[in-house]
Amino acid sequence: MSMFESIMVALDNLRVNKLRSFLTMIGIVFGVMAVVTVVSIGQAGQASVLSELSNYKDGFFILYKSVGDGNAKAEIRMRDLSEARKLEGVKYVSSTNSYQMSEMRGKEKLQFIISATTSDMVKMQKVDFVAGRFFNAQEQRARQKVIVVEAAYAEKVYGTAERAINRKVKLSGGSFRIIGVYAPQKSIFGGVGGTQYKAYTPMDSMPDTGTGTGRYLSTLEFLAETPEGMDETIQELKEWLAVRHNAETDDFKSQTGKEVQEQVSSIFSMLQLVIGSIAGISLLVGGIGIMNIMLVSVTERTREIGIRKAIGATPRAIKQQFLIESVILSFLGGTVGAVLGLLVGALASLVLSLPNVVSIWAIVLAFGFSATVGIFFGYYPANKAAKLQPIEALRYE
Amino acid sequence: MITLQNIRKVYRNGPLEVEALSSINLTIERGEFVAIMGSSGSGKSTLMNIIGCLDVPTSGKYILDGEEVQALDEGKLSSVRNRKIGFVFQSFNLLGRQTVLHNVELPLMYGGVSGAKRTQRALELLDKVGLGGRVKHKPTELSGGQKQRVAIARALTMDAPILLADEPTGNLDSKSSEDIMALFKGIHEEGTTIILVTHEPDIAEYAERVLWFGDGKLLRETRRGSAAT
Ligand SMILES: Nc1ncnc2c1ncn2[C@@H]1O[C@H](COP(=O)(O)OP(=O)(O)OP(=O)(O)O)[C@@H](O)[C@H]1O
Ligand SMILES: [Mg+2]
Repeated sequence: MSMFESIMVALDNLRVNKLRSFLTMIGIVFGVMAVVTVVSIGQAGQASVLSELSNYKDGFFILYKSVGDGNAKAEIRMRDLSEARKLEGVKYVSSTNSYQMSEMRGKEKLQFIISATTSDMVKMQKVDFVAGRFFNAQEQRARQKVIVVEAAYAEKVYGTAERAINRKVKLSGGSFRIIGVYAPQKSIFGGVGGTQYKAYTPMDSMPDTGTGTGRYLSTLEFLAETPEGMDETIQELKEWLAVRHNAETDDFKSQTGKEVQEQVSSIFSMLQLVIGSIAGISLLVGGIGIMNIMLVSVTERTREIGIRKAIGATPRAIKQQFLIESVILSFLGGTVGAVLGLLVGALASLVLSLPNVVSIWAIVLAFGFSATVGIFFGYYPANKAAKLQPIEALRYE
Repeated sequence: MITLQNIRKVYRNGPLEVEALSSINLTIERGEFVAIMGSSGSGKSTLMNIIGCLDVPTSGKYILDGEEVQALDEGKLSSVRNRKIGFVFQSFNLLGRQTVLHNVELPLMYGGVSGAKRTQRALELLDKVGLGGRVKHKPTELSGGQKQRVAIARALTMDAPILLADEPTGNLDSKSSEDIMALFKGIHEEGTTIILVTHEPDIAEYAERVLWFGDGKLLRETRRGSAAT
């Protein structure tokens, strides 16, 4: 008997028991749907975070003093920033402080999250300008109250980015003149806790930052001369800081852009694996459902099996027939589940405003898994059917 | 063609043992028409199932066409059932959900015949048993006699040299029985070996040789025209 005929016989049997076939499939449908949905959303989230991180140019890293070990000598001061710029292997160095501030526009309170940084920051990150420019070194030194705002703010308040240029933002820390408008990467955290507009100002233009070269900084941001030499530069910088502050090299920690990307990737992979595994359990339950129904089916059709054997069906042909039935069931279930999962994933991406990633990997996994489930859980009943003695099967009432 | 040596069949049900056949020795030649008679429970069906390779004897030797059947694996046995033996049962044993045509095509399907050739052969045989007009029906839509004719068509599709029939007319009225027996007669005349179990003497009349069974033993046999041996 050919494979084609086996498939036809199997389809025929499934057609006769439509309702049962459908109910059997549901377990697999939901299992596969869950897996595909989880993986799609996970990958979309990961892609979103990674694209945000890709703002940092190759060779970007930060240094900070390790906390909690009680070594008071480890510190970073403003003068370290200006000295570090002169070191070999360092292309740019900067430091950023974040401030949350707000502006009253009529009755509406607009929230800002402001990065107070140096003019070099724009050379270390990719900033997409829609209009205007970043502040320069002079403006920074002169502690001018200028600001670079994100496009969403400019559009909300002034309609277009161009019209916002030279207008004022009245923050609690003073009135800032808009000199640039940029488009930040979409973030999955963007919507959390209400809209917060991002902006850049010169470091010293913020109030209460203190002055002088002695003030403390929490981190230093660097762009290495070459990405290849980055690790060496990091080590040298730690030693350099240790000597300057009479501390240990280990008191200073570093984190590179690449490390962050890897960490984010591994966190998302872990999340997907964990949630995916939980979803996989439902697939397992679906598979057991298939086995259950196939066992019932074998028992119910014992006489049919006997008849087929009496007229010359080989054990192989019988086994094939039942195995194909269970594979068709799980495969159909897998297809429906994958389609539903992709739809749910797309919908979720829309709602969370994530990039819609159609994960081929998730589909392959779901299909592979459902086919495996079909074969694995269909094998025992099929084998049972194949091993039936013809005369006993014929006698079965 | 069929040789049984010391065939014994014991059914075990826990501590209970039933000896359905005890030490049967029997040879049936190619082209014979044999009837098996005997009281209920005398082991006739048990014997037929062994000859039809549906069941295995507890001990003894069964040689079919020079081949020792016990030595064959399940796959080979399937092939023997498919090619060498056509089986007609008292209870028809048709697939109720499939059409008459599909039922008759089944042995051809398992025998590896495909496509138009298979359908043509099945239609030919359904014509022969007088059911050419019912091929698309389901067996449940047919009378007992018609069902049995479908079963006979199915048993003939592979041109098997042996036709086994266990009380083929047991569930039929006398008119249908006569039709069935007329078919058997024709098939026999074409050279097929027929072994048939029956309780009715006038059915046994069709056979050339009658084997009388009692209590699991072959008691005696008669040949047409000669007295009991
Ligand atoms: N599966 C079985 N398990 C136990 N005993 C069985 C089984 N099949 C048959 N027997 C016993 O074996 C003996 C022979 O049975 P068999 O069916 O061969 O008789 P038979 O001659 O065909 O009878 P009938 O004319 O009623 O069909 C009987 O005593 C029966 O009870
Ligand atoms: Mg019987």
